[in-house]
Amino acid sequence: MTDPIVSVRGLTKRFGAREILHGLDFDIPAGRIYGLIGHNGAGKTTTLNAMLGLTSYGGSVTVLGRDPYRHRARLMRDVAFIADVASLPRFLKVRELFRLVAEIHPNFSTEKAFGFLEGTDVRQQAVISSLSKGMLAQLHLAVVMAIDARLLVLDEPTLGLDITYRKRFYRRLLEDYMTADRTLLITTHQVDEIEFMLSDIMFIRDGSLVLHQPMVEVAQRFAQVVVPADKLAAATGLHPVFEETRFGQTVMVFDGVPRESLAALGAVTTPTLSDLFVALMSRPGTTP
Amino acid sequence: MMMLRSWGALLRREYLEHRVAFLYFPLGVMGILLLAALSGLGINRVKVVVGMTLPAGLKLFELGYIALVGLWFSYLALALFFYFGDAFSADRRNNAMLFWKSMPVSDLRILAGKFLAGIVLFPVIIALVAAITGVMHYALVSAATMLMPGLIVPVFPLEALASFAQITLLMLVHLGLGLLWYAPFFAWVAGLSAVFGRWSLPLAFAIPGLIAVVENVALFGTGPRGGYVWSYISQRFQFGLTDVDYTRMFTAGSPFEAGPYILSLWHAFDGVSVVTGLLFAAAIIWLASEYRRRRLA
Repeated sequence: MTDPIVSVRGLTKRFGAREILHGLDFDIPAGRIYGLIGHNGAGKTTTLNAMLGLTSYGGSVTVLGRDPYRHRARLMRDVAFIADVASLPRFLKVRELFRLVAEIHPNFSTEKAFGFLEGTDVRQQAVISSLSKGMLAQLHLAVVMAIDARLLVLDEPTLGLDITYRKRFYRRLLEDYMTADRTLLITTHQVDEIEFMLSDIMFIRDGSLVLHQPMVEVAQRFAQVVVPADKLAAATGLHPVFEETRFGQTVMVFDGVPRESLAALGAVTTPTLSDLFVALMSRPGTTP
Repeated sequence: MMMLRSWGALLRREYLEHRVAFLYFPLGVMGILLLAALSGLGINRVKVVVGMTLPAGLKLFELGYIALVGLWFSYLALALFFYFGDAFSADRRNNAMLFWKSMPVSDLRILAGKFLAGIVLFPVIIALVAAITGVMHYALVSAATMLMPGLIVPVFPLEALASFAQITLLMLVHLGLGLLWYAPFFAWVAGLSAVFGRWSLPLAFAIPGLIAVVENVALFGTGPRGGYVWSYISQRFQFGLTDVDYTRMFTAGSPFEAGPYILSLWHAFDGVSVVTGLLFAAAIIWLASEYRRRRLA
């Protein structure tokens, strides 16, 4: 078995007296597409920042065999990330940006970058400050896709973009970038839009991982049932992890209960990622 | 090879970000000066007081070129002060910090690149602009000698070329030694900007001023006049040609020679202070890079 691309053990992070991450443990193998999902303030960005060497931390983090905080510059030869699409240097023109990155980054291909911009509205002579938010996202994606990286990390890459741009963004990523050797880690609030592309999912709540599993296993493990009123008592006896009323119907989510047992209660379906998110991330005593 | 390209790219990045201040604006000023001079000569608006003795054409060229160099040096000092007052925090202010952090370049190398751009690249550009202004000035003085025959002794090209070379040599030596001398001050301003942003501009003076006041209060004025800190800072702010040098420059009857002035500068150049200052500058840049490494936003 090959070494994981990312290995995290006991990851903690404090801001003053407050602990934000409470000892995360996980590995990310090569060739996977991971989704890191959580509420605002759950610790997603802090986890990514620790992996990218952008912040100090407690515990141990190894990315491609290196400590990211000590060796960020070296690591960035093999890791690309978009932490904020608005972070491109605004005083440059597009072609100036590509030329600079080509001179700084040994694994960047200017030809590929220009190729990725074909079919978009982004022109080589355009000053970056004059680009719209959608164009900035396309340009930034072109930059990172033109880097021959082993790990690509995207933190809310489509924030503020309309649905057309978001769909184009993910399609491009899948069709033009992903290969069996590359690993993608992505965080977003629009979980339904990335569900189709994920191979693995991690849910983070209040600085702790509450779910870390391949999507195939998630589909086998969790089930959702619309329970009629006369079977509520029986369904509750199977200990659903979540229960809510939708349009007068009771919907329950079960964890690890055989589907044969649930079939007698009503129509059994696999919950969507957003349903599962609501089910697992709701804090006790709160209403979703 | 990649390392060299990477350094070049970092310098070019600074040039692209600050080309308005260090190239376009000086070129604009040069254009305006040229237009003003040409229009003055072209429509004969040059007034000469009757009975006034004009210096020979060569002297007129030399003094004009020296004055222009002085003006460009003043502009450079001011522009560098403002550049360093923002340089180390500009990526944060421009919201580009995360992009540069995604590049395989350490924070130390990025800040060292910014410092090198300020201490080498921009002064070289301004020196080139100053030299071009000198050539323009020669052309204008020559034109004036033709327009006002008898009033100004003509400038011979070879004589002018020799003077131009001597003045340019002095300019380059003065610039190089001056930048080495003042490097720790610029590093101090830049280092403060990493933490305080543009507030580094007043703080660069306020912090040493406060330290000097505290020292005077603590020592009850028993130290040297103004205190040890103030005396040291005053001494560090004195570099350049003396009044005697300038008097000689303006009154000498012979063509300009850079040698004596370079010697004067060399005598004022305290090697130990310069090395100490450069070590201080290196320490400030390293501390600023560690601050930048730890603080994302």
